[in-house]
Amino acid sequence: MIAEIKKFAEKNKLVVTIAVAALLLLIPLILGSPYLLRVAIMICIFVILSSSLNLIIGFTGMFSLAHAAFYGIGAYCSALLSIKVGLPFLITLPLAGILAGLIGAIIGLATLRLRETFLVFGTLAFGEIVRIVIMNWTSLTRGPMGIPGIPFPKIFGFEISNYTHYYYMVLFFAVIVVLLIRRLYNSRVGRAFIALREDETGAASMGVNVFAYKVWAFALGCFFAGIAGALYAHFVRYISADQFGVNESFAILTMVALGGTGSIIGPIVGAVILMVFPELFRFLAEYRMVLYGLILIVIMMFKPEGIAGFKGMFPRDFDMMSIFKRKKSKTEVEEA
Amino acid sequence: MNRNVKGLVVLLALSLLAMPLFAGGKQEVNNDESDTIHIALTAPLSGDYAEYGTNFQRSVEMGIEFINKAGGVLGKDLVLSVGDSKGDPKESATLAQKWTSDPTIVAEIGDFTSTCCMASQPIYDQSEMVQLSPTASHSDFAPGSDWSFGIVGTQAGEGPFMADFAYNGLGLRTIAVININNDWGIDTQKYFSEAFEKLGGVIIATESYFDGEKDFTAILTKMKATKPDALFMAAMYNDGALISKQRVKLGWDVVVVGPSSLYSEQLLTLGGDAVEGLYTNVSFFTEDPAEDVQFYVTEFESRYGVKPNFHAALAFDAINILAAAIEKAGTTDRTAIKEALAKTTDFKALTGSITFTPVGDAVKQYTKVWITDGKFKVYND
Amino acid sequence: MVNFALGEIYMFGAFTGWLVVTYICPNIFVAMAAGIAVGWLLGFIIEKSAFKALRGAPHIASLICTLGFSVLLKELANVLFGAETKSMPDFFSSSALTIGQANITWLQIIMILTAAIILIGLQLFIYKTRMGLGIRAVSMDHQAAGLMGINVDRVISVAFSLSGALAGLVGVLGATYYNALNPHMGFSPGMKGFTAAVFGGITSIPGAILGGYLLGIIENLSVQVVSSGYRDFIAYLILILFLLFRPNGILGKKSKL
Repeated sequence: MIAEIKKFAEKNKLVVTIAVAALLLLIPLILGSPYLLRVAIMICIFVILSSSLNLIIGFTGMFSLAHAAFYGIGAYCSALLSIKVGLPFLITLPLAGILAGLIGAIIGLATLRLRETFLVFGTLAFGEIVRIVIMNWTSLTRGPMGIPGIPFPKIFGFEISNYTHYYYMVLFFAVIVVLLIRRLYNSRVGRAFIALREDETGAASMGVNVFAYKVWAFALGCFFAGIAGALYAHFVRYISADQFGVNESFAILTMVALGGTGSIIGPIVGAVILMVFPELFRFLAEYRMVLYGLILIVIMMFKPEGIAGFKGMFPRDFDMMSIFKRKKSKTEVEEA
Repeated sequence: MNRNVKGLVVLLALSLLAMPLFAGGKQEVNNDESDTIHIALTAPLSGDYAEYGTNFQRSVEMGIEFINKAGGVLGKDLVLSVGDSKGDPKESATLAQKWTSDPTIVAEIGDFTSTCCMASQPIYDQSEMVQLSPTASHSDFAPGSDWSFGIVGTQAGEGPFMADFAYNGLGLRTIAVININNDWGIDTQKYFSEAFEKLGGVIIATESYFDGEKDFTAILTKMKATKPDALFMAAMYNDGALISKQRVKLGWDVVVVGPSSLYSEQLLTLGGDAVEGLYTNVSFFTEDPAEDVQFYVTEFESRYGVKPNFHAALAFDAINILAAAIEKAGTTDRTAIKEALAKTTDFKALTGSITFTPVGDAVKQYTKVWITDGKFKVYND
Repeated sequence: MVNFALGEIYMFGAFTGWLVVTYICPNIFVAMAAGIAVGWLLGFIIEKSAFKALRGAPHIASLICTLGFSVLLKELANVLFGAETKSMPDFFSSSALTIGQANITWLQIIMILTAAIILIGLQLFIYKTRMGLGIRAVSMDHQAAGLMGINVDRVISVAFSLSGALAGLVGVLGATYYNALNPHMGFSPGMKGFTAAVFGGITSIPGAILGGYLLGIIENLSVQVVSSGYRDFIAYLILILFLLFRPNGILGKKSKL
């Protein structure tokens, strides 16, 4: 079905683009209820997060389990600057991104040389470190008490306190981030990375300073996560360390993997599904999370490239049916 | 790449379009004409705090059953909508928006953790609906909004009580404090220490631990070396039991004091001999001879096989206070309910008589108890 | 390959042990055997669905799959056993000997013995059996190992089941030692297990045990010297430093993972 939709979209590019844009703009009218609009706003914030993590995965071929930490750094930075210093949102927002990006660059410099399994542990440990520092640095962050009373964003004297307005603001940022990432992917560097992702030595021998680009991609991903954090902080207006823990990193990574690693639309699909799912299955009460775990396993088993990912990223001999039959020997595969 | 983008944007759009399908039709409701009154409960039914959320649900459902049996409120039956927040502030806030957007719902009970309550507070405040948390004790919670009420009582009241108990009642002079590193633990530690030092005592050591910690040996060894008269545990009962067991294993014999969160039958089964002689206080006591307490305890135990603890009792109180406020308001108007709830005075609850302070906190009465012969007993000086 | 559901296998092992001692037979050794069996089974199932089925797919798919198992097992335990903290009956809690002021109980002796048996047993298994040779070969280069006629699938399956069985066993011991078990008990041991494994060296079994001790010492020292609030901070910081400067741990060999 996806293929047919793709075909249709291909044929009617302009119409589809306009339709989608119109739809996204009309969402506040279509949804009507503030509850659904809130879900839509959270989806936009998580689209930024999952897309930026996908940028890191796409460019470095490795995944970070510290993404929620950068999200948290952005949230705390913007919240504290606007409460303690009184800076306007238009200044705290980029500052939140820059701080997260800077720390991301340092972490990237240190850890991106690690091999995959070690990078998982390294970023996991860093995520925990950020949480512990937030919990213990009480004079600045109020520790476990969290930060209440974060003001609504004010842009040129216009306070964005209404959900509809907030939706348009986060939608704007989400679209910008997605378009920027898409632009990066399609750039010369991006294409080189996608082609050489699986073969680092190859890339290096082509004269690409792989490591420098990796650090840049990592820092940029963290910058976007910081922006998402600022958008989140001024939306919920109360933040605390436990909102940016390891579980949140896992959730963002799940969105990317479920939607499709390496594709632009994948993380968006993942974010939508994982934000809508909990609301859709509320009636299951305590069985809801059991179903969540089960669905995660089943989707990853039968669609390991993600719902909207492509098969192209995989080695040729990948065969889903291999669970059910004895694996062919290498020679058999080659003969076939 | 481009092709994928376009094609899947359509999918995204379709899924967004599908959202109103589960929104439920929006209808204009006049609650005063309907023959039921809807109340929402937000509680962590899954995740790490599921234990407490389940107790919330049990108690509130039981409470509603009794109220309806006795003729309901304003002659109407109460109906409960339950939402699972997973203990996740994000979900708790989304639920808050769901409840406040639903015109049939008149008030909300929940959430369990203070963080969840604080994250959803701005929504209740903006949408003007009562948020009555049975357990939120964060010192900024109730003062944060006119619409937020807490009935657990803040540590500003319990801390000095326990400090007085320790200093004057038990004659302790130096105390080491161990606390869980969350908002409740910090408040508990702070108010107790301040009051104890004001009385002339010395807080000789303060150490904290993160939620989920299982090994306290290192902290206890460090504290043991300071040779305090007593150990104050600002911990939930399950951590409290672990700390006590490990303390005994270290061969550290010391007086143990703690807040009412330790009061649970589970502390006795988990802690065994190690919790013998522990001093704490209660606002709700299963041995309380009062008729309503005994009725609740027997009902709860016969249904669920366990004795209710403090948190369960608080949830039962929450639904009763709310029902009484609606009855007094005489209408299901959200503002009227808030006004009536704020005026609650001397409400006879399981956890003592409840009167809201101007900010919406409850002042509790505390009873000193201790563990002797493997049971909680009232402590008489 | 990382299995994020290992902590939840630990938890399920603990609950199996608890079910056995409360309903079937109040003997800790039977409970330990049951914990091993359930852990083995879970390790086997997780390997089959998250790794065997996904061989050739990117690692992220396997990782998310084990995350799915982690959520599933935890929430299943919530639903099946209830979320309250349960207590294990006491076993061998009487004091065996006293050194200085420290009491050592029989249970602690059993735990130390179990750790020693596991260490020796694993060491023998890895270095003296054909299967052990296979595991070593696959850990170095699974493609080459496959070409040399090693049944890679079977080797990986055995390795995973074995790690599950050990987690299940430790779950029973942990629950008995702390006398408490609940559905979310697996998170912290899971994280600590990884940290200890990295300290000692991921490819070395004595290293893992040494890493466990090292982690314990670091945590205790940081509580004594710095502050209890920063204890995990220091443990994780040292973990990162290890990863950067000594990624093969103290006893790990320089080999590709």
